[in-house]
Amino acid sequence: MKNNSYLLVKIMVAGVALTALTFLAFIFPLRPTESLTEKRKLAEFPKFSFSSLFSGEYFSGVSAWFSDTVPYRDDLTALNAKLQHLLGTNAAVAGFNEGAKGDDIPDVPPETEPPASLPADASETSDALTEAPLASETVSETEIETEPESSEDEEVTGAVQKFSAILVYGDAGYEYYNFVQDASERYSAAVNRAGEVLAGKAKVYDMIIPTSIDVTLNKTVRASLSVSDQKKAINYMESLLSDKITKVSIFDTMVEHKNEYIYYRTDHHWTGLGAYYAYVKFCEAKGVQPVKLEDCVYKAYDGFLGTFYTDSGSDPALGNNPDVVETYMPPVNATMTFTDMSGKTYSGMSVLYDATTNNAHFKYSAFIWGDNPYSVIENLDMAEGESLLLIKESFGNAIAPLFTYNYKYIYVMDYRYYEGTAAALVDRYGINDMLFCNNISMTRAMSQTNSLYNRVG
Amino acid sequence: MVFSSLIFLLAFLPLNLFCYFFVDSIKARNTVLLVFSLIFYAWGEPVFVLILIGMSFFCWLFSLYIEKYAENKTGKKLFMALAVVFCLGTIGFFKYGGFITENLNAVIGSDALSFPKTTLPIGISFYTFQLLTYVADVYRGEVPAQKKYARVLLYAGLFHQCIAGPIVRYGDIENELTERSSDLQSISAGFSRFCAGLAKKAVLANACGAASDALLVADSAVLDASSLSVLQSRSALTLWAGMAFYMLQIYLDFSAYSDMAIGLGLICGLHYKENFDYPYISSSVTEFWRRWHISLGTFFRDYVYIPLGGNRKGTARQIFNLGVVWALTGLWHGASWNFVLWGLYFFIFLVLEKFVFGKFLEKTKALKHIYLLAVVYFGWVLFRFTETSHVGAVLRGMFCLNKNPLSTFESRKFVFGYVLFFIICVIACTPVVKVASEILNRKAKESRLGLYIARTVDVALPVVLLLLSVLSLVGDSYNPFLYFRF
Repeated sequence: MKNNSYLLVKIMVAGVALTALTFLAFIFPLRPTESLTEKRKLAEFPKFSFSSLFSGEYFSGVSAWFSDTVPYRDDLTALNAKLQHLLGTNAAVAGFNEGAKGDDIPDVPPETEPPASLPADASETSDALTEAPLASETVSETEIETEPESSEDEEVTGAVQKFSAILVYGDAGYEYYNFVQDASERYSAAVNRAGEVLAGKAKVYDMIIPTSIDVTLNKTVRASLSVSDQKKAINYMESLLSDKITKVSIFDTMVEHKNEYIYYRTDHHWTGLGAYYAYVKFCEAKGVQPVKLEDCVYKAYDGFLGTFYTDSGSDPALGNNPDVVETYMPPVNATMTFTDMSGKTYSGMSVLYDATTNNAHFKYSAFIWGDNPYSVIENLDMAEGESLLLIKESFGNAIAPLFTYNYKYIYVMDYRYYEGTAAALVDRYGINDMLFCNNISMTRAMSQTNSLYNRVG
Repeated sequence: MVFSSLIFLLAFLPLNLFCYFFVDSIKARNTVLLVFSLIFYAWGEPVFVLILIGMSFFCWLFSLYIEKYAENKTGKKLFMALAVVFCLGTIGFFKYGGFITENLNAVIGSDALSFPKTTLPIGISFYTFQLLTYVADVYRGEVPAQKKYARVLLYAGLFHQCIAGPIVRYGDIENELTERSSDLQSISAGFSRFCAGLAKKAVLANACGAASDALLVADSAVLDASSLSVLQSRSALTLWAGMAFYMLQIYLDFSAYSDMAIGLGLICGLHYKENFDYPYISSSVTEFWRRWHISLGTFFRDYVYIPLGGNRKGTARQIFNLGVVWALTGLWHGASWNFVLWGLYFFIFLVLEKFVFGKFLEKTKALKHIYLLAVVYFGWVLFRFTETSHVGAVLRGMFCLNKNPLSTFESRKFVFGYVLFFIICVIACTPVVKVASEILNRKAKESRLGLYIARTVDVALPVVLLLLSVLSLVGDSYNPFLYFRF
């Protein structure tokens, strides 16, 4: 081949490659609008306005949209993650949390009155109480797409960057925890407020769920980290609770079972089994008989790759060892009605959802169809019985089905999305018990504890 | 817009190249380049593009007058002075106004003076300096004044080098503005060079930056009140590794922009001078600055140091001149005292080399390289943190003086995971690849097999690098532009 014709070939190859990529990028129907791996809506094409044009926002929005919604983006990012692992550059994706400390956890609760009477500083929306949950529109199970689970630690106050990091050790991920004093106190204040508002109406229970880093992580490794002590933090928050609140302390229970499969390795949630042990502890506190584990209907969905997998930049240590979502359903006939994020109501649904065909990232949605603002579970076998209001974020999903054994009705409120108040629900349905079931990670985010506070009423 | 973005790679650039080669005449090609350059700049700075346009206009105008008054010393000087005042005034306003006000306030001990909050027009330090060299060269009679405004605007605003260098001298491309051709050889070389630069930026530099930001503290979080306590709590290993990745990042990133600019220029038949020449293999600070950001070093040499008298007016004056040059070099990198300190830090070593231990150093073998790397490494600590408290925390922490541990479980895990990548980046900072390709080309001349291998690599490698870069940029997770302060 002559030199010139060879150069021509080279330039043609280059030109074809660049042109092909460009054409692909411009096939707009191929551009995705959401990412399943990252569990988020992708950047939208910006709306034009002169102010956004002059500020530069318009063009930067176009650039962001263009790169965020590349055709086959999830496949390409997965491929990129593989490349990063080949090079070893994925650790920065998971983040680095060395030496970062939380606030000091006070040994003795402050002598001031428990901060239950703090005024709510976010807007009260009790007017916007959503209407009765039942049946406005009925949709069959197959039509429903479950909402993705979102990681709870996105809006941590203070040093967000440091604490969004996760630690991968062996084949498991662990979420860092830092004690944030004002947010934690706000949490206790929210629970106390419920105690006051519901006094004489409903009994209030509080359960703070530790995360795996303080339960299942290798002791030596845990000792070498400078993250806050969850047991101490939980004790502190519980010490602020008034005597109107029944504390369900599950930390030691979880530690007792630490060698069992109580937390996922690739996801920040606890497992159905972990939730079961906490449920037993709740039953003890309430003085009722828990359902026996062996009496429950067991189902398992394998191939689950949760938030730690995504947050670690698809670490193969996790990816090669996916989790199994195991669900336990008490032997009762139960049905569920829920209202999703868009306000659509689904009735006559099963309490557990068959996640067999779900995308690997969505298997945790097997529990009560994922995060919905408001759900009601009814035990059809029980003619009459007590009712429970469960206030939760996604950790509560795994425990909710178990309560069907003890309650006629379980009202499930996700305080992050629901717009009404607990007090209004208690009044409306004559609810007997109310359980705050919250993972400790949410108690370090002021935005979340505030929103919890505002949902009390 | 930046080169390492998908919208540039998969929309702007292909369209630009298509239009460029679709038209035939130089005039039309210049128009294509100009229109695309203005869009490129306005994409990031829809309003400040007017500054580029206006500054080019005045420099074009003043140069014409300088030429007109070539025989009239006063007239010539007046317009030269006008151009300098205008250019430095504009950059001074946008880049240094807030800094000067803040320091004046500190001196008079009040906050009586105020300065409107301005954002720095991207690339202003690059195109202002280009325009200054143009006007100065016309003044010195080294180049004729350009009659056509559009060509001056094209010279200053050409998207190849407008926002991240190199600082191209007008004289270097004067002829090519009106007469140039793109032959297969230069298009091929240009494409290879562009892809090499792109991969250096998108695959290597961005990952170095992510590592450095994770280990130290992200640029965006530097002003966060808690960032100091984070740095103080970091282990020594973390800090050493974090700065090492920063050292790699800044070279790979910065030189990558120059590679891409040179590559794009070659495709269009424009020849820009090399801007980086493997600076980390230097054996003295003097040599380092002959290899690092060459176009900036030669700018200060030709337009500040030599006009001040250079080394022709005695040792004391020479040291003074060097001090001025290095303070200005530092300040050029950003309106903050740490950059001035950074410049003066190099000044001290340059003077020491010149007058104290330069001769001794030359005689050593490994020591001189270790010395240079150490000087540059600690220089980057000054450069990385605009807050002196952060600089102090990092330097102390490197020697465990923050009561911080030598290493931790997390730092060891992180750093060991990066060993392979670190080695790749170190290799990318040396001429190893260049030498390898020279060997390959020599083999190509010796045998048919060698020829096929060399050509296959030459055809495939740039495309592979392009694909890898695109892959790294999907989702745009981490892609910093480091030169917003310049």
